[in-house]
Amino acid sequence: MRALISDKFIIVVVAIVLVATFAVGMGVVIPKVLANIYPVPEQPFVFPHQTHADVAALDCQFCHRNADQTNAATVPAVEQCVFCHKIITGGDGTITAQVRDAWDTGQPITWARVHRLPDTVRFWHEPHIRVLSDLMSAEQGRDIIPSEVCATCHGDVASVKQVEQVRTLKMADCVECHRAKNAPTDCSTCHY
Amino acid sequence: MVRASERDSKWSMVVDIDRCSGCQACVIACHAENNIKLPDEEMYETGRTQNWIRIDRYWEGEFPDVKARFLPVFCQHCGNAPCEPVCPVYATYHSLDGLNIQVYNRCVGTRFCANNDPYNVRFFNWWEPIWPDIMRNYLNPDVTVRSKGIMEKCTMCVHRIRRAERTADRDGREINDGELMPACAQACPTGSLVFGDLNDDNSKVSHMVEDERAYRLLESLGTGPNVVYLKKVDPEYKGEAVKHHG
Amino acid sequence: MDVTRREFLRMAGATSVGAVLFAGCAIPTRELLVQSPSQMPEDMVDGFDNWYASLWRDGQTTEGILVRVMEGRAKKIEGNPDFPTNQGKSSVRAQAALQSLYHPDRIKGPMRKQGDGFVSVSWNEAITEVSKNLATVKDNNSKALLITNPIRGSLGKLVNKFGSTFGNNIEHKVYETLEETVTRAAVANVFGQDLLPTFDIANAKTILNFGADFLGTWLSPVAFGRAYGEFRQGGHDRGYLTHVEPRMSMTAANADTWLANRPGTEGHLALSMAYVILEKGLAKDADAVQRLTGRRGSAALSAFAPDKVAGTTGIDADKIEAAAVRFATETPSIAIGGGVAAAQTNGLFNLNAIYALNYLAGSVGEKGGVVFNPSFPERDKSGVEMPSSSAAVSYEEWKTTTNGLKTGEYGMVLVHGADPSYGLSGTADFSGALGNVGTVVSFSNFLDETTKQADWILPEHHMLEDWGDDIPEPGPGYASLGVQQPVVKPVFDTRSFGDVLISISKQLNLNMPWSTVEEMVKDQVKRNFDRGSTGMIRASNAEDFWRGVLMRGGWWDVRATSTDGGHIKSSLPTQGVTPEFTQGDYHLIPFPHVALTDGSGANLVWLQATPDPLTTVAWKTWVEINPRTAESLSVREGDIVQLNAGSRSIEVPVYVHPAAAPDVLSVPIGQGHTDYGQWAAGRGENVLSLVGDKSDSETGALAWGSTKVNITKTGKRIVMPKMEGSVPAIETVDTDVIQVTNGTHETHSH
Repeated sequence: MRALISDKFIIVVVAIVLVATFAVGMGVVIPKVLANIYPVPEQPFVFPHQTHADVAALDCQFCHRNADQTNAATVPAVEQCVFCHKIITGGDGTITAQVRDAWDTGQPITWARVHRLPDTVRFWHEPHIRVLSDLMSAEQGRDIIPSEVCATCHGDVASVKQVEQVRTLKMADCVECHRAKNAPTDCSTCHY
Repeated sequence: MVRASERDSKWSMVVDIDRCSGCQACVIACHAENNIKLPDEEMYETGRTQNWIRIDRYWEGEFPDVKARFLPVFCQHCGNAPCEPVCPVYATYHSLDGLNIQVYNRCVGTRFCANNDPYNVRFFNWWEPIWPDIMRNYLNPDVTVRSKGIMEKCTMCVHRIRRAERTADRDGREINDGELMPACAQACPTGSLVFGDLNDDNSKVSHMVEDERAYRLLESLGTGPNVVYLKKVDPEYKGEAVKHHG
Repeated sequence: MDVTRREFLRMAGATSVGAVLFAGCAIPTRELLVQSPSQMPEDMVDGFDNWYASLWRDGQTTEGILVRVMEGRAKKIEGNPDFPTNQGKSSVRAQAALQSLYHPDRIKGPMRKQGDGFVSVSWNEAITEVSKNLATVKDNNSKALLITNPIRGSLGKLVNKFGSTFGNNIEHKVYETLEETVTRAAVANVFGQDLLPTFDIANAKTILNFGADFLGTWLSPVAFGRAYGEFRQGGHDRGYLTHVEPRMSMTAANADTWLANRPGTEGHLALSMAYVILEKGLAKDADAVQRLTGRRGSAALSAFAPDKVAGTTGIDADKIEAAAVRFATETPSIAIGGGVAAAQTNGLFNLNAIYALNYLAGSVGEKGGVVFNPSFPERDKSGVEMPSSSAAVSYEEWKTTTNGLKTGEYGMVLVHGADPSYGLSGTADFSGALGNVGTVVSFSNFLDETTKQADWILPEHHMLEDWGDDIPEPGPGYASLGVQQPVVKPVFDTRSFGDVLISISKQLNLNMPWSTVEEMVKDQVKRNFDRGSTGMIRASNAEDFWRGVLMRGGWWDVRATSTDGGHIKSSLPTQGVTPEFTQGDYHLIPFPHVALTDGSGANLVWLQATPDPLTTVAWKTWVEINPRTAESLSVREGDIVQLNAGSRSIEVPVYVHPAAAPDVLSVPIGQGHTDYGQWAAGRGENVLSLVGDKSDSETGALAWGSTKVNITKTGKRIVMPKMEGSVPAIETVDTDVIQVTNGTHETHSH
């Protein structure tokens, strides 16, 4: 007697089922992954960059004071906030009260990090600011201050209430820019 | 490829084995600098240690006419490195400033490179690196922590090189000879390890490689090591001795 | 579908099945707490590394260090290039101080004994109770015993002042596991010096060394190691090192000639060499020769002619003669003695004879010879002198003291920086005696054997959290004072030992002229400025000077050298003193492990994992056996054998050692802790427990080289944790990996 269903048929069916399961699975997973690539982290309270950078027109480096010195741009200590906010209450005063609380109790504000590169990447702010300012300066024929180049990667933070990541900051993003500007692309520039 | 730095450097190390006392300061300095997994007993029992720099000890002769000789061995950063072409994912390559670079985020752990490495200076991570929480305080933020399943090896403290280059670039100056050293060379009490730029004619290493005692490890293999050794001087050496590796 | 390599990698990454999963350097939440502190010190900037000068101290050794601090945490320790002794170099042990700072087993705050364990108490309670106990001791006219490691500088001054103010009811005794009592006695005898001299190895042409492993663990190995590098290839004629020792230590391994002598015969060898020098008329200092030999010249030493001592010392007459001639003619030369040469029943005889050789070569007080150190000249405002030296109490005195503990002579024991329950574990059963003491107080920040027996633990700061200063001994040959400053905030609820001592004094209404150790250190430094002794620091006022000192890591003045030329207190011994040994088949030579030293390093992973330079073994105690001896005993590497000394025994694995003498068994010191944290407890064996009850006949120092043992097989085996063999030998048929030249012509064949 001939078999009702051939071996070949079983293999094909199993293959179709597997592929379909995989495809459906990935169809469910992939959009979720993409949606979660740049989540805007929840902060202890909203820090209005717009108010500081646009309304008060503070220079970026007034707070992120080491960006043109070393690898980290540095999030300022509460001390730096209180420097102004011991006098300026701003808005309805509830936020600045929280800042002063943090100062009084000596408890740091646990800001959530917005831009985080993988642990294999050693990113330095200083050379980026230096080179980009030089390039812009040559293009525009005037002196460029460090704060003018921040927007290249961070977008116009003066226009948003809460900062979010505006570029992918994936390796391709970095390398494209490096190539375009004839910056080093040796792996050990960033990975070590 | 564009160089990691505008500078035309060729970083190298000269090892004077006549100075080496075998004290192991370099070994532990390297552990402290490079976030190497805590070297537990199991690693020594199984022969899977992660000593990026080690001191090989060779015996000559029999008691009482016996000699012990010390040889610090670490990645030779070969100009013609046998480990580089065998990597299927291009995770190891030669940088233009003379270093054999291991790119951890490319590595998939085939171990082909270690297999092809005549100096045995490449190490596979057989275990996940784990520290008690409090010990993570001393980890070096300039160095990637390598996970289980990938290769690692001496980087000639490339993070120190990059930091020195960037600091010098920022300040608009040259890197002075001797300003920059890998952790091993900095610790070495007897001064056996000297680091510098071979492209700088006035550097200490440039003078040292001209010494008549200079040689390279396993030179006959054609690997073109970037590390130069200075021969051990032994006034009692007769040239004929029984040698066995320990 | 044809998956390309790039796509494969991408998919592997997206589905997290790739090999590359990175464990981050830091825990994000904690990282943020550090990243946005409420107050930011001016010099603390994320991503910037700050380097602070300070001191690393461990027992006898002091190194000037630079600590890399980022975001308030210590990241790396390097040598301080300015510091006069170690000059930028650092040891394995200094490197590993990071691990004792951030250690999971550190004692986190003051504790009191309750039942078998400890409960936390407040500092207030701890200090009050300890003070009350001290007051009770005084009221009962009993005695308190304060045991410390060797302490000099301000802390030494503080302890001395505390003792003298408290009165006769307190005794301060310095404990060192491997005491330098004999070396100090010999230096006093032969050179008339209170401070250990500096050996100018860097500028010497010949070194004749007896037993002192100065490249491994003896006194100040990093300072000596730096000098050794210069001795070899410092641009002058290459130095020649002759080393005499029954065991191949690191220094022996680096010698040009190693003479493996019969244990305890070093003095005989030295006198034999003196005889050769006198007989051949090679002595440099005729006056010293007259005084050394009682005006009899070589005749005084005729009993030590090379052919007469060759049998007892095990060294051929021609080798003795060659070493002596080289020593006397290839000058400047130095004769050094210590280590196992001193650890004999005739230890002082040996060292007296060895150090006296320096006069024959004319190297006393000379460049490339034995250079004396000036004592620190300062008394502070209270008139208390600052000790430049801290000599340990001898073994015989410890035995008496231990007896006193047993009989209730002491009502209280306070311990700082020492672990005598581990070190005195042989016949002087310190631990057992300590059980009879009413109150035991420990200031240790680790639960070592002594601290485990404490009733109160008042944990002190780690050295990177504390103020202090130190006069390195041996010094650099000129006046120097290293300053130690806190480089990180205290990790736990600990306090400075000195500050606690001051707090106790206050509770006892003792009049102490200082309120903190910081104040003492600062005061001492400023006094140097006030009397115009600013050394290498230029400053217009005392405050600037103080800042300068902190930045440089201390104060030193190269012009302030010793004015004392050295004087002989006693003549050369003309009668040989024969060493005595306990009963057994084999000589036992315990030796300090290169990283664990006397056992104080056993709690740190990096030190446990430091491969022994010669055997490459890590994490273990082992016994070194000559290959032929191993063959005759039919044991091989990894076989566990029992070493017996009378009723005491230890079980250790065998390492077959090509350089071991046939009748000598060597075992490293440092393991065999019953407590002292997760990496030390229950690991290996404490060889000090085998050491017999013998001491140097004159100084009473422990003769740890005078024990003989028997060996028996146990039938057990282990895999030896070691470096060698973990990678195949890198050797090819046609090329030597280590290439050697004899310096005259190329002897190597390609």
